[in-house]
Amino acid sequence: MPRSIAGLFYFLQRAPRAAHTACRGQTRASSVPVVSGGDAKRKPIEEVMGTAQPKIETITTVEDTNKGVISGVPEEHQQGRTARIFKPAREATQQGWNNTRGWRIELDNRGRWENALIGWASSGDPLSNVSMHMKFGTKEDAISFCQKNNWNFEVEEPKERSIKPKSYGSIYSWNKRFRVSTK
Amino acid sequence: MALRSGIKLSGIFSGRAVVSTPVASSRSNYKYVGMPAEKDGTLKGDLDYGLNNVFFTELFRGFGVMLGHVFMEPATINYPFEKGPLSSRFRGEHALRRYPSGEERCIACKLCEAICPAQAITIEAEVRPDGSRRTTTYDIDMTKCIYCGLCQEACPVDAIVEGPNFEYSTETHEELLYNKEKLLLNGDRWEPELAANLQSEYLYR
Amino acid sequence: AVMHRLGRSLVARGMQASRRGNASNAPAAAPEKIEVFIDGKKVLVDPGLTILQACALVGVDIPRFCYHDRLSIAGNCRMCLVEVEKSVKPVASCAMPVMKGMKVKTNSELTKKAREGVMEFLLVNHPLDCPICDQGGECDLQDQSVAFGSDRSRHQCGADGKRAVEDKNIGPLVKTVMTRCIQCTRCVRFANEVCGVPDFGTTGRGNEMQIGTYVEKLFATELSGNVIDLCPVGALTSKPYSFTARPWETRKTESVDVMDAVGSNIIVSHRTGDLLRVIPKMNDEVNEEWISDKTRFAIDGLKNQRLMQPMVKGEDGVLRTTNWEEALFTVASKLRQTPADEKAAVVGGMADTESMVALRDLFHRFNSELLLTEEEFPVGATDFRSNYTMPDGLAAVESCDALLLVGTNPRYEAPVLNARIRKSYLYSDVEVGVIGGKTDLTYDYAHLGSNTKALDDVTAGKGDFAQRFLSAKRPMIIVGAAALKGDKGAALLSKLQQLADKIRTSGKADKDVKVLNVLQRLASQTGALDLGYQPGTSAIRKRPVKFLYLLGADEGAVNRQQLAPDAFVVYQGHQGDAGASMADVVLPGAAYTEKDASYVNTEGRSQKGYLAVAPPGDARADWKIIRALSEVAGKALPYDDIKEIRGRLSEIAPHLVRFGDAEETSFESTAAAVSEKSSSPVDVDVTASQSTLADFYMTNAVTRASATMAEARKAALKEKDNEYTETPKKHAHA
Repeated sequence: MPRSIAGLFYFLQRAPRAAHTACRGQTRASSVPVVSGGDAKRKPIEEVMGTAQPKIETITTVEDTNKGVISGVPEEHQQGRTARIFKPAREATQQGWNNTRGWRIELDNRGRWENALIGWASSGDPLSNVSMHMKFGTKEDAISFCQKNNWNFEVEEPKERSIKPKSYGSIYSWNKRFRVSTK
Repeated sequence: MALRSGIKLSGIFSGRAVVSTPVASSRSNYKYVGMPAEKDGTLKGDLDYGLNNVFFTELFRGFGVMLGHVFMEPATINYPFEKGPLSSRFRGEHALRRYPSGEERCIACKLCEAICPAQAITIEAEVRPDGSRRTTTYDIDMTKCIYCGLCQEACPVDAIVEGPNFEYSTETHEELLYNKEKLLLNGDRWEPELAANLQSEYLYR
Repeated sequence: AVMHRLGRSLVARGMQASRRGNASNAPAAAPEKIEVFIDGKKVLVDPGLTILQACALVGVDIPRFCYHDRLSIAGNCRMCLVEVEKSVKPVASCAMPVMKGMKVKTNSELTKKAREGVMEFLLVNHPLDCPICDQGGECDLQDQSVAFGSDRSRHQCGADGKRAVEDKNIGPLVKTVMTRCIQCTRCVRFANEVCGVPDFGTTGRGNEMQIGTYVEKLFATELSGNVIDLCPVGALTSKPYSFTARPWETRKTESVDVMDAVGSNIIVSHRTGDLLRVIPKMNDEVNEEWISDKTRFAIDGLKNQRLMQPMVKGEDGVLRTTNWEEALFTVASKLRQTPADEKAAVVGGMADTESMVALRDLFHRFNSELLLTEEEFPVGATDFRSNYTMPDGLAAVESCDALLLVGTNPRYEAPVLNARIRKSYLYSDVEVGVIGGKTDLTYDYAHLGSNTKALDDVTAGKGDFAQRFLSAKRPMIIVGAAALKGDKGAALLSKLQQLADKIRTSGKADKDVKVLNVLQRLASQTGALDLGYQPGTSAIRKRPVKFLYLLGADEGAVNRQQLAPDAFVVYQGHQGDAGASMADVVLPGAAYTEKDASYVNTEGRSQKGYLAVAPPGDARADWKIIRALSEVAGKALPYDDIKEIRGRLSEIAPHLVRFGDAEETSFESTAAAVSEKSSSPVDVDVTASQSTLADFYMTNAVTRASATMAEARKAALKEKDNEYTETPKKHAHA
């Protein structure tokens, strides 16, 4: 950016010329609205950019002026919700741990009922899907999200797995109960 | 245009105040945007402008176009009695197909439900008394459906297909929420055409 | 054969000798960590770890099929091959222990080529079943072939063909499609090691290798459902859940199980308000990664025999459905009319702590203190928590070196605890002694008799086991709640307390060992005793009760004959079982998957369960019903939402709201001192009521209503006629 601005100003520095030589096109010079180089007065750069302000050490305090979240959610489904902040448990049916990274929020379940028309599930809760695909990197991010939305929250500490040493040779151990005689 | 001035480009873009003698100070890096001029100032141009103004030239050109169209064949077809051509790939009303033996093809794998971008398909499945895997509920909400054909692409057994029918409008919204019976019925009714379409298409799918 | 016998006896003698030598189980001094380079990153790990475990510490998950954290290492799938510098061949990371300075590359060309090759081989014989396979969407083979496999196949199905294998019938709970099996042998190792039922094995080799029971046998273990989670492909799937749903369309709610008192952590899968299945959630302190079959399969009982509408008995003596107002007004008016000492409440086995405290508060406001539990327990002993919980905790069995089981069959009362005991038995030198029935507990034990007179022998130190027990560093006594019934039960508890006290003061045991642990059978018992409920319903028989409130009490501990002739019985629960059939008013409550509730497990650990689906019909959460009743009766309880009622719980006992933690107990010696001592031996037969697998399945209202449990029980009963059923004579392999 600085280069193009400087280049622009460089152009403006030149001596003004007649307008008709500026625009080469298919129209006659006289029909073209005239912008004369002489009209644009050169401005010193400080007038445009301003002088450099000296940096003052400031301490900014964030006031929690959370007067109401503008989310469009009806009041009865936004107030008094309790969120559960947790790390998802590993799927028991698979061995991968990748889905357990990241924190999730689950709101209190407001239930579904069967729609009389066709048997699908109806729900009155617009926030029933808030736990889908919204993952937080840290517990604090999740907590601040809940605070921003004025939900009560409770944090569940994750249960970490303990990796205990194992050895392949122990199944052939001679005198331990753990010896496996079949495979 | 920009180079005609002979200004050294490097000087311009480096931002340094390089002073070189400009030959022609053409301000060549702006374009005029505005109404195009109606007249170009020559006598011929003015004359043309005036005569076109008086004699409504463009109107008569338009009339000529109309006259031409009067003698052309119209593209309109007489809809209920004549219909436009359809490709065998046309995606219309859904249908659930069966095997030639009469066994329904759908094995409740739920791939179509998963891939549907509009989440129009709802499936519930169970073990059938003879032990096979079949659906108990297979609903397609035709009002949510966007007729993309992803479900028929996803189906591993060609059970759900989009047939060539597009004339199934109803008078109530509820009728457009198709359930399994409706879809199967569709399939039975349209099977010859569905099979013919698939036969011509399967190599390209 | 002679040589075999000789060899076996030599080995047995060697084992005995080593066992006596390894009397203590104290952990060795922490070994020095060694440095390993994984993908260039330096990690310090304990020297006993394998490469796969070391990578897991860093966060690198190496793909694998046969390796499982809680089973022995097999090393037969070869998917975990990684490149290790200075090694020509790729190395099976699940089996290779780390060595100093090892440089492991988990993403190099060689590793990738190895994985693609292994995947190609696995897919050669794997059927194209993904659309009809239940494991689709949660299949390790699918995910790993996408992530690590090749994108094109060289397999010519028509020319080369694929092998197919017959399906095996192993019972009504686990469905087998053995063509899909990739022979990882996880099920074999699980059955062998964790279940103690060595029925699974491999037959044939190479392409013809089949996994199965060889002869058609029921997979007769109470933990059989866990092979469904273990199997990485769809070879072993859940029969009741088959074809029902795909994992991507289910929502998972974490909750707690109430089928037994262990409080296993579960994940309830549900979709659009339908309960689909229950799978375990890992909690190393409670249930590791396993859940029992009742926990897993009994949920279809929640759809049968449900109470959905409030019911009131009409003039003709038949219950008719009504609305909440009429039911609550009827109950409230009776509540107000009956004098305080003729009111009683009995709490069943699956009640949650919140509803129990609401009931208690309601009755206290009406000046009645007759709050009872169905399960019996010595009445005087409920003052100290150490008398009715497991102060050592469930996980302590792993570090225990001498275990005395009195009057309990943990195999069927708390299967997950039994799996832990077996794990301790296999991995350490724990000696187990049993006073009770002689059943197959999946580990070898010294049977001291089924009469509690043997307890005196143990206290006196008579016998091998007694000697070992009294001199152990971390001994444990687990006594079943069923053995502590009545006066004899009180005497038994007192004797056990004396024994535990003696061990604690003898100085041989570690300081933090509490020794005496009570294994409850019902999920609500510990919570009820924490809240001040009196155990046992004998108090009802002492005076005429005119108003009886049953909170889920279905075991028939109280019947009409024991009450006053014109007694008014209110039943609040979720199944229509014995309690509802004797009631005058039925108030439909919610089951454990349908309410936000907390339960205290047998360790005294309070755990929270969450609402997964809404209760059916007009049923409501239990504590809310009692709160509404209190309002109608004129003495409104002071809490309106779950936070407030949990606040009330914290007023009574703070540990009830410290969810997930087991509170330490501290008054064991005081409890022992206070208990009534007697010098004569207690003479009661404490054989546990559940002795075979068929007894395991139907123990509470939900399981009795479940068709799956009925099928399982039928199969277990039929299995007795199977000529191939056998119990191993020795559980330790040698």
